[in-house]
Amino acid sequence: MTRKRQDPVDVVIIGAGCGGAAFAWQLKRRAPHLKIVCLERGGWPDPLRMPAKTMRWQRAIMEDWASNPNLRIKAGGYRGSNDYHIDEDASVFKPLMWNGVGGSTVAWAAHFPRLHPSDFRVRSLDGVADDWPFDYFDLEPWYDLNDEIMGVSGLDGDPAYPPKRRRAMPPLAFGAVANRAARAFSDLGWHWWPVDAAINSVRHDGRDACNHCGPCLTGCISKAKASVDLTYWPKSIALGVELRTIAIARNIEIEAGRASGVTYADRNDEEHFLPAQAVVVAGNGIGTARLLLASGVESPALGRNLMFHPAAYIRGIFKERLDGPVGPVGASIYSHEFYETDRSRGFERGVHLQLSRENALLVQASRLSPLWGEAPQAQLREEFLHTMPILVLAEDLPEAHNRVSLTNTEERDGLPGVKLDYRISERAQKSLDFGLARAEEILKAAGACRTVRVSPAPLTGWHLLGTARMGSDPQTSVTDRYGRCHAVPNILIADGSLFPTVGAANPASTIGAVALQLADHFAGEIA
Amino acid sequence: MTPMQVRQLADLLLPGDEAGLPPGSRVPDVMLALTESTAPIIAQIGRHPDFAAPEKRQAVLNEMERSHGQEFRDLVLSLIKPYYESGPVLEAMGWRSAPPQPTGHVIAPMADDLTQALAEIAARKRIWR
Ligand SMILES: Cc1cc2nc3c(=O)[nH]c(=O)nc-3n(C[C@H](O)[C@H](O)[C@H](O)COP(=O)(O)OP(=O)(O)OC[C@H]3O[C@@H](n4cnc5c(N)ncnc54)[C@H](O)[C@@H]3O)c2cc1C
Ligand code: SF4
Repeated sequence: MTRKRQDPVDVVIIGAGCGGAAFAWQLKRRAPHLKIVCLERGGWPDPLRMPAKTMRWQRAIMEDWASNPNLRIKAGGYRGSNDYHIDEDASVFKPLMWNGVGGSTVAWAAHFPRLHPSDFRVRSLDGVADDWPFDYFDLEPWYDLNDEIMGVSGLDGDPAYPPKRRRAMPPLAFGAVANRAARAFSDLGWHWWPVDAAINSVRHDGRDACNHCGPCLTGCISKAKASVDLTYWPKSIALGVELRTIAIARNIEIEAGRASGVTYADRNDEEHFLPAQAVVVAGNGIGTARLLLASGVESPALGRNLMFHPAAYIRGIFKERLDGPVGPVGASIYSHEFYETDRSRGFERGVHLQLSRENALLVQASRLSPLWGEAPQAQLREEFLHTMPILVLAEDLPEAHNRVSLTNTEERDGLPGVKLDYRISERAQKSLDFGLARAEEILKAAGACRTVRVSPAPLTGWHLLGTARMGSDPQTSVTDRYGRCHAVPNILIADGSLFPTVGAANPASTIGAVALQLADHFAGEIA
Repeated sequence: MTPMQVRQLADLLLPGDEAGLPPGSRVPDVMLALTESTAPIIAQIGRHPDFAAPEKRQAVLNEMERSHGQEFRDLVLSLIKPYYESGPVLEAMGWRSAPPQPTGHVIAPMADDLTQALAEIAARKRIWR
């Protein structure tokens, strides 16, 4: 295939998701003279295609709006999320993502916690894995800036965190489920707090307030849920960043140990070579490792140490009617009562407990066993509108055998195929079991007549982290503390792959903050 | 499969209940999905000699489920989808038939008694390290 050579630019960013968007905005702000182009494999999210106004809103999450790219491909997909197949058979957790402008924040639940200060110092405090190359307080200004751009609902005064700046909006409405669960936590004397959510509880920044419609994971038609296509991208484009959509980066060209630019395919599958002084990769924990491996970047830790946050659910079934499938799915209350290490539990590190909301009727029906006949319909009668689910997230620690690697096949997008190998460690399983037992206590205290566990919960691979971790040793890390690859210093990484460890809380707030911090440093360097 | 057999199959898979959940054959989109389906397993069920006998039909489906696991599951899922999407079914289950948007839903605000509970939590010593 012949490649068209394009005019050189200063910086190419690959991936317009959570990390790439924040990086692009901050870099352009700090260094307005730079010519910055972002290549994004997918298109813009199209509200007209979001299913929440249609009768097929329930099935969409199982088909064309599934969170798992393989399911979307099976359902026919569309290039809003320009997906690639992932060989996931050898992974307990199936990877979830969105491959279009906004990245996985298009499909996310927008639960927006920070990591704890201790999460940056796990070696010093608990003797496991590695410390981050900077700490919570170094990152704090970037957390604050990211909060400002994303727009956060929440409540000040949470003793699980150092004091934070006043949240821009009050907490989201609780619903009957969270009111009941909160009382149960309090009865047990355990911490709970309204979540920080990147969802508007009131009209904010030109976007409407959440109207509690429910199916956040299939896109938010009202735009109440922040996603970086709505927050960072309009600002970056106004500053002059160029965003090219349906542009698949196939190779980072490397000459004499330095990147010279990126070869990418456009919407007509024509190849272009875009020369650049520096390349920033933000394709997420799978896409970044895949592209760097395909480009021949040699780094022993590249693709290794994949971390997800092992996850399990426990559902309480109540006699009383609760809310049903309404309200922002991941954003009501949470507890960090058991987040910090307590060695008497038999494992290091802790768990994040998050109240969730009920699944749509069809989703529940499709997960029953048996699937047909009278029994499942009777079970649905008992459970639908009577369920309170609690999500338990445990902390993964880096393990080299949990990894992203290339296959011998070439995929439709012109890149090598990609495969995941992941198993849950004994320590993580212990923490999941511990978390489930605590969640069961809450459900019982809240009045559940019975509980049902899903452990591990396979379709929870939301957090794709650690496959190009930061550190100082090129043998065990891929980048330095500024995101520069040890092997090719003018390739930077700016996404979830960078995490040396992951805490037990959802990562996007930290991904955005880290990307802002790295862009700020890089602006000083490249200027 | 004859139209009668199609109805019988729909009702075995999705029998409904006395509290108002309709049987599969009463949901037009389920019948459409069944009649338009090209899944070979449907004809196989219809041809099964025991399917003619009402008391043996359930056993035929059990057997098919055992011998054609994935195909059978796909068939059931292809019917469950239009069934639980239909307005009368949603309403019989106590839910509304209108989709989530544009109206959204009203949910309860944080209950007043929880303000005190939060104040007590906020007064705890810090729980971060
Ligand atoms: C269903 C779901 C729910 C979630 N809920 C939450 C939550 O409540 N809270 C939370 O903190 N996190 C949540 N997450 C996770 C969060 O969205 C991700 O951690 C975050 O978006 C990852 O940021 P990233 O920059 O690493 O990658 P992404 O945001 O995934 O962006 C990567 C981008 O790179 C693009 N790309 C990849 N390869 C190429 C290539 N070769 N060429 C061009 N472009 C490329 C992709 O198309 C994509 O747009 C959720 C995720 C999902 C899927
Ligand atoms: S529940 Fe709120 S945030 Fe979620 S999709 Fe609906 S309006 Fe958007």
